[in-house]
Amino acid sequence: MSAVIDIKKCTGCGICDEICPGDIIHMDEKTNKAVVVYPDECWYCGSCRADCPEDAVTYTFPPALK
Amino acid sequence: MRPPETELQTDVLVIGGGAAGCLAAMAAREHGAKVTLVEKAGSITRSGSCASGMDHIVAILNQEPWDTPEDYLGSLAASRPGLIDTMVVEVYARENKRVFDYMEQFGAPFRDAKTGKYTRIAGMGGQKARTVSFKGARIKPIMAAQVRKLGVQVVERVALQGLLTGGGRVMGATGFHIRNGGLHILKAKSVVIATGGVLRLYASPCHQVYLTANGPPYNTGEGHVMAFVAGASLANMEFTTTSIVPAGFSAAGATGFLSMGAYLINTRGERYMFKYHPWGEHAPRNIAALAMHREYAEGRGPCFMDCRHLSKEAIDFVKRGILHEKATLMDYFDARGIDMARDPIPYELREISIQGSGITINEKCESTMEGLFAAGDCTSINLAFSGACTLGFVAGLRAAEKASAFKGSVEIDRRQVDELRDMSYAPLTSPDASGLRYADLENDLRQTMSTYVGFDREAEGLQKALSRLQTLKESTSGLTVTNYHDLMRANETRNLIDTALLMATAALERKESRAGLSHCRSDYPEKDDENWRRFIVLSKGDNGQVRVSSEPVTGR
Repeated sequence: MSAVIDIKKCTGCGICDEICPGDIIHMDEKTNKAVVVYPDECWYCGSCRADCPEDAVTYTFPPALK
Repeated sequence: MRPPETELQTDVLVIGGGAAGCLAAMAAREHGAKVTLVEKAGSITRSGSCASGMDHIVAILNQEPWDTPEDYLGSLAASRPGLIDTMVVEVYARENKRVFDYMEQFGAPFRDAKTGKYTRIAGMGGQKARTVSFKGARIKPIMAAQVRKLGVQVVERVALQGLLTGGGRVMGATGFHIRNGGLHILKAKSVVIATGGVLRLYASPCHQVYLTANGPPYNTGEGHVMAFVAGASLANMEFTTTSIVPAGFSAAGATGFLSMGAYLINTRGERYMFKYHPWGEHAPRNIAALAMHREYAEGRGPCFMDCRHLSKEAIDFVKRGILHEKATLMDYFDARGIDMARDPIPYELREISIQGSGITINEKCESTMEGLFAAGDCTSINLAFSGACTLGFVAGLRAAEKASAFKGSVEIDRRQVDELRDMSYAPLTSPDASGLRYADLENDLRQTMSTYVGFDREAEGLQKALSRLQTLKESTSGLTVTNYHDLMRANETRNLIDTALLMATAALERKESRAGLSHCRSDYPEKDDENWRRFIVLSKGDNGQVRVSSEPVTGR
């Protein structure tokens, strides 16, 4: 449950890695794509989506409480 | 291999690059000081409580007869039921417009782009329309750009370890880089702490620990702990801030709904807020929290935010606010199939944080320690975004004045550096590290806090909490990590436990109930102004123990 990066759209610019306030997104050195390394630590702040120039970020949500 | 070491010297060191820290850095730089701003996150462009935006700011603008510092100060007791230092709030009220105007000058979009006017609304805890609603999705990048433009040295991805002191004053701080582990020794003539409130202390209703409402989950009390350890006093640590949030997705934003006239209803469809406060849905935040707590406890839950009676314009206004403060909430509504024009939105309590509980400051935003200043949610005064900006500016200015008056040389004690380094790197290097994971230890912490230091507190439970927290503190020697990101988190866990100990200590001391859900003692359910209209002040005793004292609340 966190931000999710569409690696087909990701061009490896590194902005989300730079601006994520929780340090949860890192660039993968081999693929040069952004990876959500710590999904459990996502604040859902929306910064990565707001600043992604490729519109590559969406969010998944925790299960609903009934 | 020992990580690389970097040493910097500056006039004013600002710790934390959120709203308060950015304004502090700007003010100190405008005064002519050499300024270094250190931030734990990757970039000050998106860090702090307004990382993803801010849709409102309280302002005192002299636009109406009531729109004055005097009127604001006169209404303080009714709108803010907690204990607040009126000397400092007076400074806030009088400096507010100057800082607001300054922010507009560097590009804060407070005015409506079409009309050139401010949109004023009444927020939570207020009947007068003091709040300026604005499209602030990019307020943080705008602030960060101004910090950089002024020539502030910005050091990012560095988590602070502690303050350096000498000769009874602060001399700087140390930290480590959260990607490469590099040690940073930051020497300074004066220091401003602006590290925000403390989140992640309580169990989450939606089982998503990092989904915190009133501030980032990455704010974990570093500033509180480093100030306390260095010798500064803390106040109001017993008081918590509780928000009402959409069920299953903790997000701020109640202000936007309630200012537009949304109702809070219980499962019977009753508007229940008037039972608890004459202002109904405009009641102060902690009263709204207390009311929802009672409705659930007495079997009238779930509760809802009800917008069904609102006009399309009002609902569009609410949506606009969400998009400019926490846009992902709209995604959540979409994912759950919630249409706010059609569906009452399930709401729940989020026992969240401490804000306005922390470093004691005077009217110069100076702590009880020479050369150490503080502003924003890490101080003993919580005035939200507006207060963080205004008092952040004041703190930066005063810190710069202090730095220019300091004629000595900044001398650091290498033993302090080594001690801080050894303590913070221990989970990576210590032979005592036994494989304990920070996430597990933190879950124990949250369990303890929610059970004993939560909504209903009483002496026996608080004593159990103190004993349990002490055990958790001892367990931190077993924390083990394998990289620097996790080292940051393990240090956060340690700071959270230290903060929790201070909270439980203060909560045990205050033998009354006050300010809605902020501090409810089931063994002392009534407010007791005669004995307890006093600040509980915590400081480090000679033997390293917590010294508890109290100070009268002056003024209104």
